Amino acid sequence: MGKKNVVWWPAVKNVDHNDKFGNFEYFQYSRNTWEYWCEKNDVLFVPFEVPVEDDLFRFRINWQKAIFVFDELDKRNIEYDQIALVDSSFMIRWDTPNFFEMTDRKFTAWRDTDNMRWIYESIQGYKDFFDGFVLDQSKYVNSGFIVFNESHREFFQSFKKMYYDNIDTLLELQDKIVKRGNEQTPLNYWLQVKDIDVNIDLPIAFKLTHLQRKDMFSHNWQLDEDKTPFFIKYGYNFSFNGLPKDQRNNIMKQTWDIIKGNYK
Amino acid sequence: MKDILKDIPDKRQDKNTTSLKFKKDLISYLGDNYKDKICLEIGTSKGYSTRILSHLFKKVITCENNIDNINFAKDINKDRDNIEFLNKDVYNTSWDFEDIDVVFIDCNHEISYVLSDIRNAINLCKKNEDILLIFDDYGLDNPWEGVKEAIATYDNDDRFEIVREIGEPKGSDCNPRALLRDVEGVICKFTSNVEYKNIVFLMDIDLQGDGRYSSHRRDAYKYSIASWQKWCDKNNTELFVLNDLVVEYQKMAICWQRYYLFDILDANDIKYDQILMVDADTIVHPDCPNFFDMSDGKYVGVHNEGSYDWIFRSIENYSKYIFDSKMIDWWKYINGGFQIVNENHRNFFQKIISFYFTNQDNLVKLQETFHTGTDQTPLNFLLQLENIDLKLLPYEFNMCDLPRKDILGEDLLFTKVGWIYQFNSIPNQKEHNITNYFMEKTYKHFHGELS
Repeated sequence: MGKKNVVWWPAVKNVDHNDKFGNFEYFQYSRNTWEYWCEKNDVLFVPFEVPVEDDLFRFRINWQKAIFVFDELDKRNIEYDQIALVDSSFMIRWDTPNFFEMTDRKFTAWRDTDNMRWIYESIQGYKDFFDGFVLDQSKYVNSGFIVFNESHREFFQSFKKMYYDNIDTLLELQDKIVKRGNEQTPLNYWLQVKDIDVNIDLPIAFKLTHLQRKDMFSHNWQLDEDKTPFFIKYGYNFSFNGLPKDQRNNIMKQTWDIIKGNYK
Repeated sequence: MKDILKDIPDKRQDKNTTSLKFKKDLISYLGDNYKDKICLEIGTSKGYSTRILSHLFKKVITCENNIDNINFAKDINKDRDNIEFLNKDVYNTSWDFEDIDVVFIDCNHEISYVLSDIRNAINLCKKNEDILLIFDDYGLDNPWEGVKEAIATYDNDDRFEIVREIGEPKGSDCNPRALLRDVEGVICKFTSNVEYKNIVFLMDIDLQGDGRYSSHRRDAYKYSIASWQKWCDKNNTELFVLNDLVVEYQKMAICWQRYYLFDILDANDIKYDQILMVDADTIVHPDCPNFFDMSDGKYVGVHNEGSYDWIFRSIENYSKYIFDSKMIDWWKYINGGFQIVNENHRNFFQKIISFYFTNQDNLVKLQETFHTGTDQTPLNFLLQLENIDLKLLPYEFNMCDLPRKDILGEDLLFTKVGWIYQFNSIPNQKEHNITNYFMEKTYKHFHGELS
């Protein structure tokens, strides 16, 4: 059997955050869409549900999903071509084109320009840790959906080593000093420090984040012919982030109820 | 010459190459004058012309998208050691070449591709020097606009001239599909001329009306104009501010009138290379990189990252009532407040004006009914329906809807994360007071008091 493309889908339930995330019921809606899309596109769906490191405070899932991806695929004897890491807060539309065919086999990601103040502050907050490296914000990407391949193994392994070598400092930055995200900004620094060639040219329909900020929950109330919310109508891969986390279950359930007929 | 042409077929034997007369004329014109120069060939095909060129130049760089063609061309030129073969899509990659003296263009013959070739070739020309452009299939009788029409768009550009007709004459049967409608090929010369500057074009017109036509809207335009003047001075660019309407605004909303751009520049006897049309509610960072250098000679815009509720409604409304339910790729939707164009887009602007008057009643009715914009959405439809080759610059080059990004505040954070700030879509304003406040504050942050 030849190597398949893989969707690496982190969905570890952290019981300490059950209240905050409503018992993580939203995982199921994300999974429904991604399993369907993977089967349709001959892609291997690989869930990451059991953490490698049990201490989920010192090893947040956001870090584990990135630093252990190659180790876990090796451990499971999975032969892969390209790997798409996608957060379980994403739902993919049933007819989304096969993005693996659009990457030019580069590390592929999408710019994050949603809350540019948050991003700026996060970049500044980690700057000293990265020896004053001047990060180009116009190349800052979202880490919730990225595509890469075997040629990036060394990049992720070095990222893992960096984390293990600096875990206490990074925890302090993330929880007490910067308080702007987990692995996303360090990952961006690492990409730019290591001069990784990142493809950021794919349409944003593949990474629709902050739907509320973008006014995408509405429909065309002027024509009033189609009440399908815009994000479903025009997006391919939508993330339910940038919202109060206790609303995620409900909104993803409502979305699933609207679209589930297309996944049969 | 006989040695050079040994084993090279005529067009009558292989329709994908040029005629032997074309090759002989080319050899005759170039002679030994280019033996120390570099030729760039666009479209290697089988490599027969490449072979000829390799005898006439010190080096030939040849680009071809089809790997089978490259392998064929390498094989027939295996005895030539001065050819660099590149497997390259010339329409989707930059032309990063240096010290090119001649460009041989024989690739996609549809007009938009030829215009792209010409623009890219011209960009290789050094200041106050010239470059030769050699075209095959000038007289090809295609059912679509092609090489001849592309070259004709430069009729009024005194930097560009046809210096020699080459190959089979008009009416020749060298192409098995149809008789030539004009001579087979032409050699053109482009001379770089420093008089042709890039232009920043702004409109600052007092309509003395109410609402969107209120004079208050213009209160801070002086800061925009001053910031652009300083940027232009720094970047060898000329600023042109239009203060008069072309058509009464009751007949044509002011935004539509910017598409008279080329007529306005002609009427003012202004020679131009590229032109940025930018809205007067912008301030430019003094260190903003020269975006003209990033255009690749294409139509340039910046995707409109704002309220997608507005954008989608606008697209759907115009689709239904104006564009026969056709749809466009929304992620390529640009803001009308930042558009870089060049002479190649003259005809497109004429089409926009013509489109406006053809659909005037419907457009005005739609504008007044739905309030989903004036020219911006139709512009985007026309760009995509007309297959205009569009290059998108990052958001930092036209930062609209700043509040939505959480960066419009007293700390002027936006000045640290981008280059051109458009103070639109700011809620809860009275007579544009917040827009005007931030435009003044931003200008003074960079330059101090207006002198």
